[in-house]
Amino acid sequence: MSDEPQENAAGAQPERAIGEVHALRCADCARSDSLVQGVEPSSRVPIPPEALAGFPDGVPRPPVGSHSRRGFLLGSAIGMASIYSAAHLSWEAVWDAASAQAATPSTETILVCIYLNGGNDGLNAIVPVSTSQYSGYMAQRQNIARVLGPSGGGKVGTTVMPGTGGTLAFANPLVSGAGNNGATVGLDTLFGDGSGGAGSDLAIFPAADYQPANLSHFESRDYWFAGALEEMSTGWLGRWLDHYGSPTNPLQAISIDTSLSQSILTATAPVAAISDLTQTSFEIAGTNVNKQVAGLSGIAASRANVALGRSRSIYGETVQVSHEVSGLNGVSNAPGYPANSDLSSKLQLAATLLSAGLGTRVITIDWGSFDTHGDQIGSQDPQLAVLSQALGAFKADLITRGLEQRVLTLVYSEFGRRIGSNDSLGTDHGAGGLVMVSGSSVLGGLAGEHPGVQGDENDNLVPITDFRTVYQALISEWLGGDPNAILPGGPFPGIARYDGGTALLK
Amino acid sequence: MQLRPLMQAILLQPQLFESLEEPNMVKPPVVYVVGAMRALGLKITDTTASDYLDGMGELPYFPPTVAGWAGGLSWLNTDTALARFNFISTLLQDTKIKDVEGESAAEAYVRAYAAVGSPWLAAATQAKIKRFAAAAPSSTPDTRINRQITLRALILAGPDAQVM
Repeated sequence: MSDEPQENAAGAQPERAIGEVHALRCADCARSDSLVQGVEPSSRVPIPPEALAGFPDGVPRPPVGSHSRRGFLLGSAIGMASIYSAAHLSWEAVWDAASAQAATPSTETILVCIYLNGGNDGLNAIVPVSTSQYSGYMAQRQNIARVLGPSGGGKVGTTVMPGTGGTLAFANPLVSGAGNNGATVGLDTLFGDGSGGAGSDLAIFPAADYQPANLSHFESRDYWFAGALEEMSTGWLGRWLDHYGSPTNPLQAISIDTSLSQSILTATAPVAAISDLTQTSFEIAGTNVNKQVAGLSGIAASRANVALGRSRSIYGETVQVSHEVSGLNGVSNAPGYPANSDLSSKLQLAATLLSAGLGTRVITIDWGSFDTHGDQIGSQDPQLAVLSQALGAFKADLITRGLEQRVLTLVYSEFGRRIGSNDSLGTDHGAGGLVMVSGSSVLGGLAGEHPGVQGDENDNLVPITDFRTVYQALISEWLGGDPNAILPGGPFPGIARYDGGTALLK
Repeated sequence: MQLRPLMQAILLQPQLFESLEEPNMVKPPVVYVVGAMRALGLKITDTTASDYLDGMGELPYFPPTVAGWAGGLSWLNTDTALARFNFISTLLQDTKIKDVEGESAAEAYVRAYAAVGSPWLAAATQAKIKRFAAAAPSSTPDTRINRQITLRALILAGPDAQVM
């Protein structure tokens, strides 16, 4: 199902004012416009600690003999949403395992995924500026096109990317400096000379996707999150966690959100959602009742009752997460992040959690509103500026925390957009999206060719890189494990860099 | 045609539920919030409920995609479980609770259970909460009231209260 009717409506009424055009964005993406802050109770009656001191810890029930995880899973409905940690472990045992994991100085690799919600237009981010391509680019999207060189005259300019033979340029909102993103760091800083040498730490895939393009937000998201061209009950990172992750530590994968990213949905491994650190424990009138809740979580549910088992497991995992993060005393903020940005808050929370050494391997962030059917310059450009600034600040933050060598950051969206713009100064759903991987371990530079603006019969970019090629490299070169055990339909073609290289990492 | 008796007959039909012994559907946030407020005799007078619903992952009229919410087991994760519990905790702080001098732990449990609408609880869960009640201090009015609040929260906001 695509959003074509809305696009047609947009196209049919070119006279709309820009403010109205905003309303034409897919309802699909409206949710991301109403990001919500954590809500704290406005008043509290303190309970004296002695009032609760007598409550027993609640001894967790040991696992029932026949109640193995495998048995539980076999007994549950196949095809239902993930069950996560269905087994009833003793929470003390789980804490011990997690604490032991946390106590060991970790050298494990970490992947932070930033999903740009709504379908980011890669063609106005990485612009084909060679003589043969630019005229075609300009002709097809004149009303939103970037100009060559510095911004000026109401037009947004471009900065040629080193190491691309002068064929590609960053749109200036992605570039550091006054008149660009306004900061001292940007994608140009991370990209360096594009050679993949020291200081060239950003790999760019200008057109990664699957074929044929589906154009639907839902199906494309399902594919990207699942790492497969089908809807699955698990995500690609979720399956990696099931295979290679911890069976007991929910903090191994964290969605910085109130909901879990589909990409980390697992069959058995526990995972966590953390939206903020303002309140991390079960509380009654300001008094922590985690112990009592843990006692209730430890009661075994009958194997057929998936919902009750799940509820008790999740309450137990929540206590476990609380136990681990309660000492963090909130997010520690580092300098350089763009002000008043949800992305900054999420990355700062991510950095705080990572530096706590909780055994975290994966963090997911869902950010932005990139479904730019109308007024694309007004809505995409500020977000590109924030993204570039935030990625630079995140890297600096991780360096300060001594973590940067262990972290890669993946940036992706569910699709790119049409080559030709519409009459509402926007672009409709297309193919071939921008994917970036940042980190000083990354072989920076152009990691996939640009397809050019000739397009297919539907005016879509022809994707050069299968998105699973990137996932495959992230698993085999970074996270560890066998990509073929995780990604159905593999192996996929390897990375084909502009300079002939085939690796993602240095 | 009278709809009320029809609806009543449908909703009270045992076959509507897969298991009355162990309810096995996760309550969607709206069901949970409205049910809890009804159980406590509260009315929705401001936007507090919608703020909490958002934290539980179901802001009415704002589904994450036009396909709606994934629902089912996906309602529960380590963030939304906290949101559910702390919502009830907040409601209970605004509830006037009477002190009953000399109330035994067993009586306190019975009163707390009735005050929150007698929701389904597994037998083992009831036993465990009763043990909490028995161990809680109760020598002063404050400690007895705190025992009531804690019992009500554990009954109405614990893991068993999330299924229907």
